[in-house]
Amino acid sequence: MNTHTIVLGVIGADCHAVGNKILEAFFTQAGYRVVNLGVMVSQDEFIDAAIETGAAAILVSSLYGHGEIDCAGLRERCIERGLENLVLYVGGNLVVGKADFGATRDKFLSMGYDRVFQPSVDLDGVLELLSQDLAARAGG
Amino acid sequence: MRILSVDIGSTWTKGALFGTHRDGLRLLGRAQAPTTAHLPEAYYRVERELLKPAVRQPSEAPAKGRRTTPGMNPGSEAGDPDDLRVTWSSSAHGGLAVAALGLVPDWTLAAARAAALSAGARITGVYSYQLTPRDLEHLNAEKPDILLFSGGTDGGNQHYVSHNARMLRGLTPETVIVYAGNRDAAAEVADLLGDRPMVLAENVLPDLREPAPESAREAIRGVFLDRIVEGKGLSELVAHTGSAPHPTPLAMLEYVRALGETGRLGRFLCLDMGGATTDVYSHGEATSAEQAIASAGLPEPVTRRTVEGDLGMRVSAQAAAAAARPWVERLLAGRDLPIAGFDAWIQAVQADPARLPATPGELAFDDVLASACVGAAASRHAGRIEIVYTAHGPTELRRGKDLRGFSSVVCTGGFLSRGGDVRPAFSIMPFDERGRIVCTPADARVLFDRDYLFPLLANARFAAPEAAVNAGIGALQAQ
Repeated sequence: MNTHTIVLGVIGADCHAVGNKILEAFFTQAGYRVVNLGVMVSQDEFIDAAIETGAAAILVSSLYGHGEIDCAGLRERCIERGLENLVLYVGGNLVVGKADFGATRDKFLSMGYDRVFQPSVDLDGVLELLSQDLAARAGG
Repeated sequence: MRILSVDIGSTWTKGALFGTHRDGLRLLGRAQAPTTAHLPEAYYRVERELLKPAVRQPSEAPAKGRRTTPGMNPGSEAGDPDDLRVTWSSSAHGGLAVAALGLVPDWTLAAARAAALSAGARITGVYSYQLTPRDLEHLNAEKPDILLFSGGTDGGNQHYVSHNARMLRGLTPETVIVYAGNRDAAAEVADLLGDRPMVLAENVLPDLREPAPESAREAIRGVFLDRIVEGKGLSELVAHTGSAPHPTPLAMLEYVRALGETGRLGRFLCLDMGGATTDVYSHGEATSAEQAIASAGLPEPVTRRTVEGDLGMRVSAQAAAAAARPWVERLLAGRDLPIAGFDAWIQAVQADPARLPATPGELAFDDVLASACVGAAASRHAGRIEIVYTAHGPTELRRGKDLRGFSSVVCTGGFLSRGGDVRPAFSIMPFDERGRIVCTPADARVLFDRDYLFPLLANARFAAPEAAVNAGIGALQAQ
């Protein structure tokens, strides 16, 4: 049982709610304290919630293809607001069309996200990675 | 049963004697006296006036003569003289001054601010993130009665709270700290503050989606009774009356809640405007259609209070004329009144707060000022809707309370009781400075508490809950 708090939400003007509910149920069952901000969440709302709840990670979803615009600058904003050590994940249909996922992943990694996922990802694998990344962050 | 209700305000101490009558209250007498530096003096004068044998007429006749309304019958029966209940409130000597400290402005600070307002406080300052030496200087200069100290959800951030507790060791002992932050940090905060007086309450925001103001509100009320009543010379009256006072805005908020729970006014807004401030109360939950709009920020309480210290008719006239300028300009233009004349009137009442309008022109300027205060205060109380363009087309994103579907606006307080039409004030500025829709009432009926009984009925409710509520609804009149 871990007691980490994580913040979930769908970024930007995106109102896709179903996947977000699934993630909330999944991570709650896995023992995380989940703060789910729902849909249409701004960068500052993610950061405000993470500061207030003492969260260790922010998991950003984007489903409507505008992910690149909405997600850019979140890492810098976290650092600016005192969250240097936060684990930052992003996943979903991050760009419009059938772009090569490798290129998309590199783009988001270079924006400062620790992990980038596509919609078909196996959530058990994500859980494993999250637990490793949180442990590494705590140790370092 | 007879009820003696007295409200000690900063300028006037007002009182009424009520008798229970069927399912409502009968007004047996009214009195008022200028509030004195030693607060009990004015109270005794009002009490003497009201309890002298055989009160036959209300001592202060309403402007348009006596009226009889279903819940509120002026009468002369003294009732059983032995069964007298005394209930009183005070907002004198600056009321209940509270500073709010939180972590993130939109979360714990917003929750702390809302909790303090719902306890009937006047907010003297708000502080977020880490307190700086300058913030502390400011707090020590302001000397609020209470600092409501929050920060972190339960299980959330502790770092800022610890830092702020360390800083607060330098806070003047005249200010009582009420800690209502992260539960996990409470013991450390108590340690850090040492033997400094502190009251522990439950977290105002234990979880981001569920503000919990009740415990902090009770703690503030406890401090008000234990410390502030004593400090303001009211303990003599506690001994005299055998009962403790209520902070006036708290009594009003609870009265508004009780009125709302009858369902007879629908969802409503209540405006209480005085010389120094405009208090706005709203009661009503969002409908399911309104909930369908995406919302951001803290969930809204069913009964909400805001208070505007820069919107008032006399002491704050100049501040109001500046803060509500867009309303003033449009209202003057609509009535073809000169701006220069209005500004001269503002200067005159600011210099002499006791000044009353004597000519039709002055009356018109006072009406414009009142409407402007109503417009600006309602606009600040109301939520905002922003149109966001999404992949599914334009979508509405709401922050704050949507009052557009509210059915009634209740006006009370010396200036509004008089009964000018304030409805246009709601629609003058449909958008705010950022182009968002302002969710003020769109099509509400306006009701007036013409005899300005609400604060006194709010007190009477503590003695006769149902009767006071029926009397209030009965006393309301349309235009």
